[in-house]
Amino acid sequence: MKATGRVDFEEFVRGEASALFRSAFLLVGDRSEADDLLQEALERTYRRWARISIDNPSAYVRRAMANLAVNRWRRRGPLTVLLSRDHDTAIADETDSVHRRTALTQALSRLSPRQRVVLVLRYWEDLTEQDTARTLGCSVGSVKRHAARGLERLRQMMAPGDHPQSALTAATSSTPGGCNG
Amino acid sequence: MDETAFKTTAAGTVDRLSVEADAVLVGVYRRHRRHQRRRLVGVGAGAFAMIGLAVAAVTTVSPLHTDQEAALSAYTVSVTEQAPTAAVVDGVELTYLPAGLPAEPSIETSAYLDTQGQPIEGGTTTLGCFSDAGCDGMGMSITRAPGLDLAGYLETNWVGDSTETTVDGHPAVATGIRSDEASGLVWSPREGIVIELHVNTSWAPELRRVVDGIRIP
Repeated sequence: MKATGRVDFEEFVRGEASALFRSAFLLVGDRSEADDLLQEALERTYRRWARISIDNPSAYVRRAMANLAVNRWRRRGPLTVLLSRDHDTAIADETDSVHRRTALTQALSRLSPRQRVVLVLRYWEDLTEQDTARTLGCSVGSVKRHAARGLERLRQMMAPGDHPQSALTAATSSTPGGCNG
Repeated sequence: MDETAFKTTAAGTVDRLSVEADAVLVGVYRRHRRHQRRRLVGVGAGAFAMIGLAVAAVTTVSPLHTDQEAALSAYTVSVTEQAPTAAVVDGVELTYLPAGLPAEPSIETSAYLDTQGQPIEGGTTTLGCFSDAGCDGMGMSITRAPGLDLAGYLETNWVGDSTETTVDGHPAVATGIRSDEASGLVWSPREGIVIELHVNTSWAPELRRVVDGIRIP
């Protein structure tokens, strides 16, 4: 899709909003913050939309969301998820799969922003290592490291028999920042 | 967990999530209007700087009268100049740290990127995290880039809901994080540098004191 006018922008948002919102949720782990992130990324896209054309607006918005989410040190992930209301209400029953999904949301919140963003881009958005690196301004090696460490930490935190809360408490939060982290 | 398990679990986590596109659009256009207003304010602030307007050095989250600002300014500058340095992030000195925060922050410097991941020429961001785990206690970032101002910084960073204020007479935004009520300030003390400082709920009442105690050599 080639972006041009305001009508096209609105058509694009109507077609993609929910899919983009799901990505935003995985990036930040909270419904209201996902809303905020999506709107912020779309606003930045809209600024360019009005001036120049964008060849692949969906990819443009996803890149913007990923990079905005990387600089998310100012927000506190663990509290965000533990205090999340909407999502908890939506999955109130206690089946194993629900438990696992809640655990994933909580565990993701304990990763560094860059680890989380790399996992979402690589395994949710299906970007290649090269495209993920290009999106985040990192080296391919850095993407590989973040992906491997991120999955490893998720595995530790979501190990069968572990209560997600105790695993989360034991986990340490690494510092976000440059591509070498 | 491997990548397949991640994908399956992630799909199960978000499959029921949806959003009203029209509500999103309302939010996007509201932000866009705010962005345009901010750009106008930035242009106005630049014009003031051009004519050499000296503004009293005081940090305000709520507005103060000019005479109050002047009195507080003299006091603040005097105290800050004499105070010993408690911590340093990229050359910016903090003379006050809330009790319980480590004086040795973890420091990371990275390239300053735009929202598409493109490095901004000559730009760096240094993040100092004051806590035992990540930036949970207090975080301060110093971003330097040629010609950088607050409006330019807000083009590339997401600070969430914010209100306009001033720090040392410079335009600033105060941010409140909805989920944990952490608060922060973002401002540009001079062209080429933007400081962003956030503290968590425990130290939120001390944010202003921390900012007042900042020295920029």
